[in-house]
Amino acid sequence: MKLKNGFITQNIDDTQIMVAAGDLQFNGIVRSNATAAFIVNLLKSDTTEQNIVNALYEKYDAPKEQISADVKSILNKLRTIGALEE
Amino acid sequence: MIRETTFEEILERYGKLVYKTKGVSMLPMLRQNRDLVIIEKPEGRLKKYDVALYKRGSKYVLHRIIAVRENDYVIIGDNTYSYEYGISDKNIIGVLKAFVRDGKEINIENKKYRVYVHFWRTVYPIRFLYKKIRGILGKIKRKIFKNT
Repeated sequence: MKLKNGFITQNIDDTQIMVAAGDLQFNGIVRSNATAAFIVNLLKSDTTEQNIVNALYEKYDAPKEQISADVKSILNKLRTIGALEE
Repeated sequence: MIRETTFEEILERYGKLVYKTKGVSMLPMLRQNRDLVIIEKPEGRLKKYDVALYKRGSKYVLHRIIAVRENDYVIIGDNTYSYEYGISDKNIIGVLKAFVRDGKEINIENKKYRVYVHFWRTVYPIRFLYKKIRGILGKIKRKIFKNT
């Protein structure tokens, strides 16, 4: 899976702001904290849910189940705004 | 944490918002999905010819102020033909500071931009008339075709 072309991210302070450019449907703005931004950045090239979980597991000292659940919820959020190419 | 946010929140937090434009009501200046707008939080009251970002119900609108009145503003899009009244400072979220057209950032202090705004407002009666005549001609044409 991958972040759709046209979704643009920009970092302001410790927050990542994401908007859809061009004629993509999504007309809002999304705000991500550092962890979510890390996931969004991984999605800029083709990857899998498992790869994302592994990358986060290496980076953060947290139980894998917790990380899996967080990744799932963030991916779902991205799906609802149509930002993911599966 | 990832969540959808609002233009108000972004402006409140960072004082600035860069976004694409939707709709045709600010043509010929702003072209949908092509040009970007740079909006800032307003300081004090807006001036004549400022382009205001405001909320009309749940919809965001970016149109031009053509008169500043004591309790509200008179607002119209560059490509629309009906005036909007009753929008006051409490409805206004931001004000246009610049826009990006074909990769070039144009500030609202830009001389050419000022000329465009004055020209476009001055020829409003002509534009209005042209639109009306075109509407009437269209009606006549449809009538003729219907009868043949």
